[in-house]
Amino acid sequence: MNPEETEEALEGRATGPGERLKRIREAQGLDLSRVAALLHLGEDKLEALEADQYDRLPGSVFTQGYLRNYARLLGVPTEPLLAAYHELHGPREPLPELHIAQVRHEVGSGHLLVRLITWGIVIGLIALVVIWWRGYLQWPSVTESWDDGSATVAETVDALPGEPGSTMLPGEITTDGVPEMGAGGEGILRLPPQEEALPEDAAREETPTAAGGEKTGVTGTAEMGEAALPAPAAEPESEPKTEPEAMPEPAATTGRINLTFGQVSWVKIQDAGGSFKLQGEMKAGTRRVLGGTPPYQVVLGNANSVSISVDGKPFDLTPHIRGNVARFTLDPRSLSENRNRSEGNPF
Amino acid sequence: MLFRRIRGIFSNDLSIDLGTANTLIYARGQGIVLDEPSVVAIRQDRGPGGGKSVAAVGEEAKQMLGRTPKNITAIRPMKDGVIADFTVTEKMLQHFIHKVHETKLIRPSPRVLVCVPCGSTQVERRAIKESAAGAGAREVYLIEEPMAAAIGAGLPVDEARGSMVLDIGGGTSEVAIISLNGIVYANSVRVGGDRFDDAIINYVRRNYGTLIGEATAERVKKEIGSAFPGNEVREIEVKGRNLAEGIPRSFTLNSNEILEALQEPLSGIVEAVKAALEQTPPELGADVAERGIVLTGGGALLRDIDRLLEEETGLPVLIAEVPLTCVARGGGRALEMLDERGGELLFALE
Repeated sequence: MNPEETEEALEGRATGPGERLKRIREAQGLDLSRVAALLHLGEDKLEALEADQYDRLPGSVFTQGYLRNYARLLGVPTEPLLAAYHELHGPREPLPELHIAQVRHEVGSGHLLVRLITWGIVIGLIALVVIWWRGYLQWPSVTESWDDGSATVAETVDALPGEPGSTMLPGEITTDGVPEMGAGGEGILRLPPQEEALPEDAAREETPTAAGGEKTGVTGTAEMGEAALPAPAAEPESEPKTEPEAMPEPAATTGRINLTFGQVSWVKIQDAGGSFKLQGEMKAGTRRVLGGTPPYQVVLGNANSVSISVDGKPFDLTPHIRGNVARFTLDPRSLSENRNRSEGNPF
Repeated sequence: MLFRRIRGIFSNDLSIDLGTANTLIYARGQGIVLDEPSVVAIRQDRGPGGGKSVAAVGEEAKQMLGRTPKNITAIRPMKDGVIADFTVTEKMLQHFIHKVHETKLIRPSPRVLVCVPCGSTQVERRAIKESAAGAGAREVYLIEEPMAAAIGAGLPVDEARGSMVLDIGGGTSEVAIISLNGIVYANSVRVGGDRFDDAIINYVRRNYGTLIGEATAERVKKEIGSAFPGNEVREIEVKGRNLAEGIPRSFTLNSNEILEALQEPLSGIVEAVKAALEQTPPELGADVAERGIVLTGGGALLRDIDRLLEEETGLPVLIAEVPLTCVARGGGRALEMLDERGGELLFALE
């Protein structure tokens, strides 16, 4: 058999690989029984192979093996024959190839989903901690802490709510709540740090008024607020002192804040400077006046039972109450400005 | 245990052909993902009481075989198909499992199926199981190598017909007759690629008075080794140390010499096959005679080994497609069957 014939038979006008092999065998002048003996196969199997009747053969693995052995016996390349076999018999099962270091993961740790879940869990945990911490701040164990030092608070027990003498001044108050005053009418006022720049004469002008006890508490407060102002010290005297509300400018800046607790309530108030702090549980009937620098960060527990008045005017807490806890920033100055604006006050 | 399960979500199921010469890993749904020599290079740290550390594993370590300085030892932890050095095998497995999992964050904890020689003892099997567990496997299954090889070769193991498979590995050769998903007869002989190499080394020393290394012997076997006399004679030039002179010499070996050298180990394999055929129940023997013997494993790549067996047994002998990976692929298929059929397994699995 010449090479052209072999090639022709291999490439094939013949359809199946068995038929191609048969042609090559015949061209080489080999007998079927001789080939069967050489391949250790039964003649019927060899006939089936040459006729491409694979259903008469044991299975794909064996058929491929027989084809390979047959091709080797005849001295022809096996690959074209196997390719032809797969064309006839169906596609070759994809053999796993070596793709080392290209391992795909079903779900890798670098997977976007895994990362998102991880971050979600982390953020969730942080949020839980924050929520717990805030809750912890709202309802701590029953303790009352006072920030001492330069912090100032005017305090009075509600024994004499209406009595002018018991009116608190936003100056430093001793623990018994009574302003420290000289017997001769020269009250020594120790003002909060931001008010230390208060002109000396303004303080002196005012102290007799307070000592005289003729004015109402409201008036006194107005004067104190005014004293804290950079406005000329003489101004309050020129104005009628009996009607401080009529003077929007001092009233707006006075910002005297009264807190009255109807029931037991927990409170945390901090001023802008951080020097004043009121924190703790207030008993029913307690009254407090805020010192320090506005605005105040206010947290009130049991807020429905707390009433706040700014310069004697009640401050509406209801918009700030969430679940009986009020949380807001209280700035008496902006409050007064708003009020003035709403009243159409030219000032 | 729970944590291992969680880590398992991020791991692939693996089928490991833990061979004496090569370790192959088949990852489920991905195919063969690792094919490396089972060699580990161990570095002895300097100083008294210095610990040991792994210097290299796999291909890199194989390059070091026979070429290491004093403080490094390149060892093959598997011998005759079973574990010879437990700790090093564990390290090697650990390295390979990590290599096929690129996961950085989570340590892999895959389900692992390991193929064991059918002749291995319970102690040897337990050692392999514990070694795989120590390397981080969540669950370890063992399957006998001939069964995995038959599945990997595509033999109809579930039919009520006898299929004979001969797996020639690096350390052992396994012959088995399988029918109805079970092993009817199996035998394991400790003859494999390594014995071929040793035979070549001995032949060269005896006939040439020259010592050659294992790596050279392996190269000779792969290039000109054959199991049956062929028409052409191939030659190869090798270098070795002349024992008489003590200096390296170069000489030429031809394929007929190698054929002669391999006669002894090859006869061991032929004997095993003949013994298997003898032991096989006649019905199954008839099936085998009709259909033939299927060869798998790296030894099947030795030139004309199928012809040798054909001549010796008078039966058709067929070489499986990609014989090197049959066992690993078969193991992988077994893992898939494990999931498909749940606990009720149709073949021997421990």
